[in-house]
Amino acid sequence: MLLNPLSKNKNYLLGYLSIWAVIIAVHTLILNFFYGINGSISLADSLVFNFSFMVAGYSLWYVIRFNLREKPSFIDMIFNHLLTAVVIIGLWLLLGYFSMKSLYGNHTDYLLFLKNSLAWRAVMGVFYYLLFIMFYYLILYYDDLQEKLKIESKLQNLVTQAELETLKSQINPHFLFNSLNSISSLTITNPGKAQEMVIKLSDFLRYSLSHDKNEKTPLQKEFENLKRYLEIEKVRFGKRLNFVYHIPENCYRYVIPNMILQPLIENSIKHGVYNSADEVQVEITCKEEKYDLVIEISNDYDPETIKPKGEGIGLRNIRKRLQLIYGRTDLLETKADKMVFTARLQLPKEQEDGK
Amino acid sequence: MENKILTIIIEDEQPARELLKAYLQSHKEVELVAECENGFDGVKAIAEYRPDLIFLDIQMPKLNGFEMLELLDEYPEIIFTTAYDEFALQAFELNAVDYLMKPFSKTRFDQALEKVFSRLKNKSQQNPVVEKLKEQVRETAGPQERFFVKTGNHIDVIATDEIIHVEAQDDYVEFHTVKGRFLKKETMAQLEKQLPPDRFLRVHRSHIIRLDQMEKLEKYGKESYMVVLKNGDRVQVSKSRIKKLKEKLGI
Repeated sequence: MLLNPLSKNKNYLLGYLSIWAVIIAVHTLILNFFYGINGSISLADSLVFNFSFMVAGYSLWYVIRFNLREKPSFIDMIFNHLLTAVVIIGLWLLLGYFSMKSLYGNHTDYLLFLKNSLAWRAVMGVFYYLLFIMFYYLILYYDDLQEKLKIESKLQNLVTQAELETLKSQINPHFLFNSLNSISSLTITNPGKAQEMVIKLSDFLRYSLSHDKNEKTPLQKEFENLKRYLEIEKVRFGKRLNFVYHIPENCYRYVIPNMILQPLIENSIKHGVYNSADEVQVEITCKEEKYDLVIEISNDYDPETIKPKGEGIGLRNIRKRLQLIYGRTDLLETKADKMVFTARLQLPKEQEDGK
Repeated sequence: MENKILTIIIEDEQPARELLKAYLQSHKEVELVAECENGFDGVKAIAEYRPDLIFLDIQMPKLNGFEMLELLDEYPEIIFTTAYDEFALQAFELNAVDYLMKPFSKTRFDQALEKVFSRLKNKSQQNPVVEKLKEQVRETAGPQERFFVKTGNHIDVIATDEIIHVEAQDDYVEFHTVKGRFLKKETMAQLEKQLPPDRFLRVHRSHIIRLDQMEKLEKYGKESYMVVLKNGDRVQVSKSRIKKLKEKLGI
């Protein structure tokens, strides 16, 4: 937020101006009553000194913004503010003093008062300055909090959405009913295998329904579930679907956002196996790099089939989710060469206890 | 024993084929003559065996069930099978065709078969339902990304992006493509609906052009125009459609 919070809406500005109006009135009355300075001079003094601080205070916002443009250390910040305070209050006093002197230089009483009051005015200035700083920082803090809350709730929404998407795809009617039909067939031809498949399908659905929505899961768990899914699809498609995976032991302990691989695998099956009458290989590889875990999911596809143009909703959602979790947009890459489509995920390494 | 009822199963998933076969076991009057894993084989097998009945899956690779229907010259009795496809189900319901929703029971299967038997006994002519179904699927499916053209026993796939222009030839339309020319039994009006409207324009009663294949627009005579295409073909533009063409080109 770059705009001065005071100019954000009319009421704030009005409030600001009326507070100053009150201060100007009180200031005038005090000079008039307690120091016996005549009315018009009191008013002029009050106007000159307060009006100039009103403007200075308004522009302090930009000083703070400038101060915050890169994360300064606490010491730097204090130093900056001291410097600013000295400069601003100094200028303010000089400006006030000389303008009043040029206006009412012939009133000796007042001039004496003006000189004597400079120390008090400086204290006032420091007080005003601190008030402004506090006010502005409070606003910044509050905005920051709001922003954080917004991101938080957005993330929550996306997770919920991802969860819904996964549920929808888990209970992806094609997948579910075709699997059930395969089971129905196996009960006649191969009851043992039918039972195995019922168990797999149940485990798969249970996992999809039960995992903790916000959390990341160890790769191992995610992968076991993927394997279940692929084995179920394997029963349907037989030799048309082959999958291989190269996942070194050391990758299993890292955590990844749950259900992030599922839509990628479904994409592979959809564009590879559903659209091709030939054998298709789906490949999952995982590499541990210095800071990242790199997971690649690739599948052959029939270049003769007409590809849908652009990225589907599924990929876009994964991207969005990664951006919210890791704050980066470059974690998912896809490329399609002549015969192979590859999705490449690059996730910062993290273990279960948050290391 | 009179003639058996000849049947073909067209289904890409093996377990699903097995199930149909198992259910057919108890129907001795039906003879399974072929099993096909995709629509292309289906078209060939139907031409070869001329079955009385086919079991047809809608979602198949390369050529789905509906696209396969487009390539048949005459229709056997059809029992559709599908796991889930709102669009297909709607079309089935509207046109009262026989379909089985996966997973289906033996009872449900037998009922569908009974219906077919009774129709075959009464020897009703060419199944009119399928024509209606085809039409409705076309209407609702919107623009297509590919077309299938059958020449004798050979099927060509034409991607929409390969079409340069299309010309009417009596009962047929002729696709002029980067791969050559192809004839398909189809009306211009129907084809116009199947081509993406942002990329194609009908410029004449018997011509549709792909807009990005235009080289230039030539005026000849007082009110008549010719489109010259990138491959050198020249296509006449009718008076009534010149305005639309200019609009599309932003002239």
